[in-house]
Amino acid sequence: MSKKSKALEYYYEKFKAALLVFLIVLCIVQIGILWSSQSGSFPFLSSFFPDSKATSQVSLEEVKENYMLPYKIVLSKGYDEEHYIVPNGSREYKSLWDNAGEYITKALETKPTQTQLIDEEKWGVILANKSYYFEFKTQISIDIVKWVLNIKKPVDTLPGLSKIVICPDDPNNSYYDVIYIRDAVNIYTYILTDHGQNSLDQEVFDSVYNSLHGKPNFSNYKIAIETGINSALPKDMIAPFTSNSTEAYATVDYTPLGSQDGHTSSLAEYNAVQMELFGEVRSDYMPDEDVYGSIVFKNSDSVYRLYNNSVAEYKFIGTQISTEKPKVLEAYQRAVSFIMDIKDRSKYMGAINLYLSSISESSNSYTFKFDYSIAQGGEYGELPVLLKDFTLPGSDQPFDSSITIETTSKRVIQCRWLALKLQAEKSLIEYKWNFPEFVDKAYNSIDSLKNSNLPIQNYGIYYVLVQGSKDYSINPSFVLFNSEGNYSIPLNGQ
Amino acid sequence: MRSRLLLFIIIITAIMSLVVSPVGAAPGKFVEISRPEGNAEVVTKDVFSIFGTCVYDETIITFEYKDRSTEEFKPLETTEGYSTFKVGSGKMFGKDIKLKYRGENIIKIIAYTKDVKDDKDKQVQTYTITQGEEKKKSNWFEKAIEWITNPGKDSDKDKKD
Repeated sequence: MSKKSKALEYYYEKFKAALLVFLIVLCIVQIGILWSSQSGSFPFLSSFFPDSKATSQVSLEEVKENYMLPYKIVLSKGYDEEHYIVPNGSREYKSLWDNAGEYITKALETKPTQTQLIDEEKWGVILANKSYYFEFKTQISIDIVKWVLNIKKPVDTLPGLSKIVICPDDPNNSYYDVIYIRDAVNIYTYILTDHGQNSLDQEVFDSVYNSLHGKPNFSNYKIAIETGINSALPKDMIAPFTSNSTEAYATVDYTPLGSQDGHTSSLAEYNAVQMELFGEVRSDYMPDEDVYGSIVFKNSDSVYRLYNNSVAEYKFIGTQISTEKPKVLEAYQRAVSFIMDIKDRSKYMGAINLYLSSISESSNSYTFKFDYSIAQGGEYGELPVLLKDFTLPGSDQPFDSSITIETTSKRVIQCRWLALKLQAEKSLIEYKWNFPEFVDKAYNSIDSLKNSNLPIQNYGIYYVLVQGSKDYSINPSFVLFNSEGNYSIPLNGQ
Repeated sequence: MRSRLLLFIIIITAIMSLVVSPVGAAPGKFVEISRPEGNAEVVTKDVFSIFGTCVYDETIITFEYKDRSTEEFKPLETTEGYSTFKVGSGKMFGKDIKLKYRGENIIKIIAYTKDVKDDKDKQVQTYTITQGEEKKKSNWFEKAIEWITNPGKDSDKDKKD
C-alpha cells in the first residue's frame, strides 16, 4: 500500500470516528430534547435545554411562596377595638407573611397543646382578641405548606390549614407565643415555650400599624363576633359594620387577545394570538378554528384553544399510562410550573397576582383553582377578580375561577385560564361604603337574593367580570355570597 | 247554603288573621338586638356599637337616652348625626353612638314599621351601658412580677376584655 493511500485511509478512519462521535452526541441531544418535551425529567441532560423541567424546578423553588399567599392579613388591637386589613401586596403584607412563616414552621414542628372541634363563636373571639390573623381562600394541604415553608421536621397532626391566628407573647398564656391553626374540622392550639423569635412582637406590630395608619385602604373594621353572638353573620367576617369606610381603587381596563370580534382567519392573526399565548410562534402547532369559532392550536399530544369569551385552554390528548394515585404535592408542583410558564410567556399576566382558591381530588388527578388579583400600586393593595356567568361550549361546569388546572403527579391534563390583557389605571377613585348599607342595596335591587332568604356566607370587594360584556373597563363592586351564588352591586365612586 | 257561607267566612277570617297579625299585633316584635348582649353591658370606650336584625323590610329605628338631670328620655344621635333611621330589605343595621355619661347610660331602642300608628304598638327595649375605667396597660416589669407570682392565672382564657 502506497504512503498516500495509507494516509487517505488514516483520514478516512479519522472521519468515520468523528462522524460516529458526532452522531452519538446528536443522538444524546435528541434524547435530551425528547425528554425535556415530555413530562418526565432527565436529570443530567435537561440542564442543557432552556425549556427543560430542571430549569423550571429551580425557578419553582424561587417563586413557590408567591403561589401560597394568605388572601387576608388582619391586625387586631383587641375585642371591640380596632381591626385593620393589611393591603395585599404591600411591603407590610410581605414582611408580616414572611415573619409569620417562622411561627407557623415552629408550630408545625411541635405537637398541638390542644385540639378542639371548631366553635365559630370561640374562633371569632380568638380572632378579635389576638394580634395577627392570616386567612387563605381554601384549606391548603399540609404537604404543600411543608414544601413552601421548608418545614424540615414536621409533626404530622393536621391535614391542612386555612386560617391562622398568631399571638406573640400572649399575656393569657404566660407570655409564650401562641398559634391557633384552623382546618375544616378543628382548631389546633400551639403554645411555643422555646420559641426565641420576636419577628411579630409588639414592637413590630406598632411599627406596621404606625406605617399604615392614616393611609388609604387601611380602614378600621369590625369583626362579626362583635356584632353579638346572636347575629346571623359568620363570626370571623371582617367589615365596616357601623361607619363608612373610604377606600381608593383603580378602574381596570381590559382587552381580549386576538381579534375583538372573535373571528380569526388569517395566518397573521393566528400568529398574533400565538405570540400572546406562547410568547412565540410555534411551528409545531397547527392553527385551526373549531365549530364554536374558537382558535385552536394542535399538535400530536396537546391542544391549545382560545374560546371567544377569552378563556384559554390547554388539553393533553396523548395517552396516559399511569393509573397510580397522585400525590398532592407533586400535582401542585406540576400545576404551579405550568402556570409559571404561562405567566413567563404571556405579557398580559404581568400585573396579576394569584391566590389558590380551591383544591379538589378525583380518583387519579387533582384540580387546583386560582383567582386573579390586580395590583392597585404600592400601598393601595390589590383587588380580586370575580368571574360571572362564564361558561364554555361543551362543558356543563361554570368557569368560575380565573385558572382551573387539573394535574396528575406526572403531567398537566387540562388547564383553563382567563386570557385577558388586564391593566389598572394609574389614577384611583375614592369609594365610601359600609356593610349594612350595601346589604340593603343588594336586597332591595336583586330579587333572587331577596327570594332566596339564605344567610350571608361571605362578602368582598371585587372587579366583577361578566361574560359577554362589551364594557372594556370595570370598577369595583360589593359582592355578597350565600349558598346559592353571588350577588354584586357596584360601589359608588366619588 | 248558609253553612257554606259560614265556612267561607271562617276560612277568610283565619287567613286574614295569619296575614294581618304580624303588623297589627301589639306591641310587635320588629327587631332582634344582638348588641348590647343581654340588658346590660360594661364597656371602657365612650363609643358603643349597637347592632340588630329587623323582622320586616322598612323598619324605623329610634335611639333615645335618659337624661340624668331631667330624668327624661331624649333623642340619642349616632356618630353620623341622626337618632332615627330606616332599615330596608337588608334588615341589618350597625350604628355607633357616643355614650353621654361615664358610669350608667340608660338607652332606649324603639322599633316599628310604617303600618304602626300607635306608640303602644311600637317595640321598645331599654338597655344599661356602663362606661367603666379603661384597663391600665401594665409594663413589662409588672407583667413579669405577675407571671412569677401567679403563672397560671389567665391561661387558656379568651376573654372579651
